[in-house]
Amino acid sequence: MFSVCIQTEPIAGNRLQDPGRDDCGAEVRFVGKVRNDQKEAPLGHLVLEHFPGVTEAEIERIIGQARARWPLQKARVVHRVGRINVGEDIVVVETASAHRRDAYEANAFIMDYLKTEAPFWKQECFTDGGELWVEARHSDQQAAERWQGAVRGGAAAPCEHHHRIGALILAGGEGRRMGYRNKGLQPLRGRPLAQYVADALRPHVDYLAISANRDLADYEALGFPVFPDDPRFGVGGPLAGILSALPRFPLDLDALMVAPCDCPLLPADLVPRLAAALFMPGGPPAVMAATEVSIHPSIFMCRPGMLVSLIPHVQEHADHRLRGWLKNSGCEVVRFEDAGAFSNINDLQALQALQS
Amino acid sequence: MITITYFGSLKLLQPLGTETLDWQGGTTDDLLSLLRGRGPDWAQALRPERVFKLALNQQLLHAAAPIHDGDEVAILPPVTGG
Repeated sequence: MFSVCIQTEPIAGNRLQDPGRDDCGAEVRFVGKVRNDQKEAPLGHLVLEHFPGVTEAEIERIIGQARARWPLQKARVVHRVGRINVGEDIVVVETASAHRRDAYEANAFIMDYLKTEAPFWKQECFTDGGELWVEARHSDQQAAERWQGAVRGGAAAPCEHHHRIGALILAGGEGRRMGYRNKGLQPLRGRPLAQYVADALRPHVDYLAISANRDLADYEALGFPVFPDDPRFGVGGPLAGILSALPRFPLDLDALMVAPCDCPLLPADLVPRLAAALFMPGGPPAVMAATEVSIHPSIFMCRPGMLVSLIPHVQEHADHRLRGWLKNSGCEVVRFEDAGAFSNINDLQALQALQS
Repeated sequence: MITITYFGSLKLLQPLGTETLDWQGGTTDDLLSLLRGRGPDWAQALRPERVFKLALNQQLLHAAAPIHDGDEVAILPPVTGG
């Protein structure tokens, strides 16, 4: 239910129905049209140019950002190119969510960024034969800038010099010690464990996705992209999850944040503190969370360049745990005070203990 | 030899929308300086605030990057879609 379509044909008036879902409480459909504002001569039509391949990828990236901010069940962009007559539709953006506020805000966000980031160029063709390339508007730029730092829930801007961080929640394990139940979906006080992790990461990251291999629809219902393991990386465990999800991440990230789905008490300053250590001048290529008593290799942040070593590592080493790869890569630790914040819920007993 | 593609209003500089250029090596910044040196209309059209982004081999760039022989460079003016 997340798609981008760029087409020369007129955009069909009917909205796309999704009979598969019944948890969608709000759907917003924005339609942008060619208007005649009689600037110099009556406008005959527009000609829209785009950058094939790049424009689609850029809109997908914008949708990914919207999904990291709002729990969306649908985001669909259809944009017309080529000759478009006055009164015809140029662009349609559809968003859907459980609640109207998320659907409205995500729709406006996608449209604001589409206008300032997606490679399209308009040429006005007047009835008197004149042609004019449209100039970019400052007001459009301002409209997009209002979202910077405006994360759902009203959290503050992540940091002054903004580094773009993509986060992956690892939920691909088989939950052996939980009786093969899908750990991230186990309820803690009525909410799935993975939701707690998402809530801790989301205010600080630009993109959030989940690595899972079962119950994919249940994970998708949390509102983030879900990527199962690619069989080509059939090594199992967290490294396979990371390798499989990475190709689907936006390309221009400054760091990747990884956390498991079964740590519901993560500290609110996890991402900012790891980022501060990673991005300090001369900082290491990766940092992992630790306390006085233990290290937590499954909670780490690394620069994208370090991920290049991941494929050779899984090919050359029998040990596919994160610890080995991070150790070989010069990962440093960032110590947190509260040891309890990193408790992971491995079995039903531990989950039960937290419920009270 | 590199290929340069011009989008949007930059086509007024190069009506075909594309050209090939002998390339002795350098970065995207070097290429922009070279093109700006072609004359006042080029310097005016490619002044820094007019160039939205460059793409190298279909990947948008966020900083200057080296251009190698055979590369495709696209020059994008500020966008006006939607």
